[in-house]
Amino acid sequence: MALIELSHATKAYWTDRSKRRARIVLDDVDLAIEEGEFVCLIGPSGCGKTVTLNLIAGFEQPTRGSVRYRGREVAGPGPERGVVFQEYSLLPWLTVLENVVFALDSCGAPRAARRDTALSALRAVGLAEFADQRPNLLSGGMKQRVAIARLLAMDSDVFLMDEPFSALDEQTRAALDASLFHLWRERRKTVVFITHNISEAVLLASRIVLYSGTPGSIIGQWRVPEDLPRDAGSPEARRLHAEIRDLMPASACSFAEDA
Amino acid sequence: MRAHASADDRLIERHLDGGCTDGGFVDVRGGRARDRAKTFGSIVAGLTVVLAIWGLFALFFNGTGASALRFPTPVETFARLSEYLFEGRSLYGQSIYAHVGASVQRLLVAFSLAAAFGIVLGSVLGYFTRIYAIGMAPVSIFQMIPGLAWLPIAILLFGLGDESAVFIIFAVSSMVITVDVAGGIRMVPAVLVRAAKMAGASGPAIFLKVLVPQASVSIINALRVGMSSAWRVLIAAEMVVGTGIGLGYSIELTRDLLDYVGAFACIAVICVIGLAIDRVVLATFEKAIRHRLGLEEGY
Repeated sequence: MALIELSHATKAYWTDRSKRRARIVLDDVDLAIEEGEFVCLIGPSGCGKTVTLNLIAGFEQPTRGSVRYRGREVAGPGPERGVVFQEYSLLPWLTVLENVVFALDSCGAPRAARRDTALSALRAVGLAEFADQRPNLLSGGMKQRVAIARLLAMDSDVFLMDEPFSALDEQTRAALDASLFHLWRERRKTVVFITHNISEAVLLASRIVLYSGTPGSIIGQWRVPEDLPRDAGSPEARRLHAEIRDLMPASACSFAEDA
Repeated sequence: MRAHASADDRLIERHLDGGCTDGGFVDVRGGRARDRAKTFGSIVAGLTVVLAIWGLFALFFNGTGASALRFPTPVETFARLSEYLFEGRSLYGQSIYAHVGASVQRLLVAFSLAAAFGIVLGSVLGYFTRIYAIGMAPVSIFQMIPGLAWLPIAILLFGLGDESAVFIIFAVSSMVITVDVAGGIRMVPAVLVRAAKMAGASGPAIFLKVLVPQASVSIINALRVGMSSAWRVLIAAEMVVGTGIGLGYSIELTRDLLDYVGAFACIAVICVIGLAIDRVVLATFEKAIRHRLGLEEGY
């Protein structure tokens, strides 16, 4: 039994207030994710990647089909399925440390160990010396590292990451990608990572899942051997990159007229 | 480039040499005091403009001879005010302090009730989407009712006097606060709530530890708006419900006695108290909260 199982998962939203039309954003998706995988969901914008993540996180329920975690229907969010959001999600009036402690409070971690757990999680993302700063003094990359530390502290089994580094500059993103990959190799958490950047997917994933344009469905999957030389120059990485790019649907936002 | 450096940059630059630097921080002395001086200067300039327009208009009006009565000038008004304040001149049988005390006391009683009511109801409406849809209709309807339209009901329920004035102030102020508090709670970014839910926070914990702190600037603003409407309604209410003492009641008497200088002196007091409550009490409170929330960058 897979850790996470979407079967025939379909999600539709009303398109108008009179509720006479609905738009299908996720169309009959079957996806099974095993423990310890690093799955990258990739596809054009508006193709249902974020909806997939929200279904797994439990923020939304499927219109049809089912989403299971460890064999049980997902009824709501929970700390075992941690989320790193695309937007910054720290409480601005708490310090970095207090933000992590707040997450530990919420998930019911043992009271005595909270501070130490939080500090060691911050150490793991290299932010221990910023523990007493407020988030508004942190750069975007640092805020997302705190968000990752929050999941490490809660010891989430699954890391659900929705384009966590997309708002950051190229160098910061590259550095964080490398650190995340390192962290995954060390701890073998299950990661579901959304990106629209093929290179990022090739760099990180143990499996790449390609979505079609709206309504979103899965149109391709690649397993990436862990020992694949991943730097952009290597022929294997280039071949994989090209293969995905050829299949990637044109973005719904492009200027091109509909064929 | 130097020419474009802001006053703040120049001030910090002065301290860069010699100031004690500590991991990228530098101690700057006098920054806060200078900011205060600037704020004070702006307030004085604003008041000067108002006084100038008032004075010129009074001169013009009295010069035309359009009315047998004189339009009070700033000088006359403040001379009278200082008689009330410092020479113990009585304002219709009471000292001005007694009038102010009575008005402020009514205001505080009514406003405290309105704030408690508005914060609770507004929070509930803001938190529960379903209740918001149901509750906003009556709140919006009540909000449409002008303060003095409550007068018949106030007198029916409480008779002439203090309680009626308090009721009218409460009726207006509580609805204003409710609407703004509910709006503030609903404006909290969804991602903060989701992050707390993801960590497993309970409904009450999310409400108390995420929604209320994040909305606290809106809540303070709601109180500011509620306070200013309470203050305005208070004066109007005192003019009609026969409270027998208070600034509004005094203005009502000046009208009957054609004592326009006295009326203006009362209005000046009303302005000063209103400004003091808003600028000194509530604004300081708001600033402290904004700072606590990390919304004020850099200081």
